[in-house]
Amino acid sequence: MSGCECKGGFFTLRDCDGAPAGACSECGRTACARHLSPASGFTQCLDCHARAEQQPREGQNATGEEVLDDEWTYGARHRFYTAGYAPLYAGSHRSHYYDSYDTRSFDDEGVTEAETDEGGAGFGDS
Amino acid sequence: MFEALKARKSLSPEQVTLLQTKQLAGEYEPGALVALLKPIAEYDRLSDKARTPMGCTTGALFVLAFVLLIVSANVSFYLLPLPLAALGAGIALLVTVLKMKKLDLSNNFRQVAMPLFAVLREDMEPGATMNVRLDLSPPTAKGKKIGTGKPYDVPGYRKVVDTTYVDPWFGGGARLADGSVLQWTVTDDVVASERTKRTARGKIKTKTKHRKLTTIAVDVALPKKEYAVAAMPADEGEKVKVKDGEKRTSLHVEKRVKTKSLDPIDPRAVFDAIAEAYRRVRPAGAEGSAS
Repeated sequence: MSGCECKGGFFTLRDCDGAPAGACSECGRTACARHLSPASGFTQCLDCHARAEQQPREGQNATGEEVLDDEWTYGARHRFYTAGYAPLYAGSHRSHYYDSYDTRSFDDEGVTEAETDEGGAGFGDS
Repeated sequence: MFEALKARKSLSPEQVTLLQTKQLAGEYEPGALVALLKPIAEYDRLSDKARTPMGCTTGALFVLAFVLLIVSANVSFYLLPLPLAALGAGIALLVTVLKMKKLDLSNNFRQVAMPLFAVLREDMEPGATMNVRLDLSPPTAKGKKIGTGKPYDVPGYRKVVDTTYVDPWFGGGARLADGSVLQWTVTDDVVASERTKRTARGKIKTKTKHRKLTTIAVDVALPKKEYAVAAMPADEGEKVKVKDGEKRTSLHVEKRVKTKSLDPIDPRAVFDAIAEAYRRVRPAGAEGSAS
């Protein structure tokens, strides 16, 4: 897989494959411009940034009264998954990064991005 | 206050119309919808925040005008412009507060609808549109009233009168990136209980309490090619119906949330209702959880 390794979607995860714009300093995955977190100075992917900011920030309630941008959506997604929702993955490039969410896959025998195994460790359990 | 007024001035004519009519209906691309509604949400947030202090300042200005009037009457009539200025400022502020109150949107907009749009944007193909119907007028608006009950007694109160309202404020539909078709409606059934009692000092006082039952109904039609439905019992407060079609399996999920105020529900309740449909399916061909 040569494009963005982050997965889009909320109820179901799917491949992004956007043009690479950088790599996440946390998990090392290649990410497109959309999946790099502006709040981290474009050094982390939205997923890693959401995992680092598990709790809602000061002044931000769980109802998303903030800006409702990608940063918010990925934070909400992370909280939703760690609260017990196991997303379905509907792509062909299965990544272990999302295993901590008990992701259900369409393609159990699909391509595994072994290189992304490191980044997901130590974060939210499902 | 100035922030709210500035936010109001920066709204486009389309946004102002939406703010005034409190109705939105049509086909929108989720990103464009969020972009359209964000400035309105920001104005509504600032307006909500500003109105209470503005109301207090209005009251203070009226009191000040009255005090200055007495002072000027006793000291010198040359001081008369001062109470007049305070009165003028109080009236101007009161008019502004009333105008802002008239444009106030139901908090359901900011706290439920907007988060759902942001989430669905993530699950839809770029450029795909969703059908949206939003009624942001207050849940206890006259048109939503369906009846008033007969007065009855409750211990501690002289008279209780219940008025019921039905507010089907939110609905929509979208085709998701996985080929599923999602439709949702959110309806609030509100009971405004007007309770009158006599206080220990003999005064008659009336207060209104609200009870709200929010019904979230979600229909997800999942392509059979992709998804197989697994039998699962429904959670408490949820109803799930499965309808088997030729090409799609339709899941109808109904979730009810009771609250003792008019405050918006947690948007997660809507996410949960949609997720409930996906919880009941597994990828067609897969034996279960992959992890």
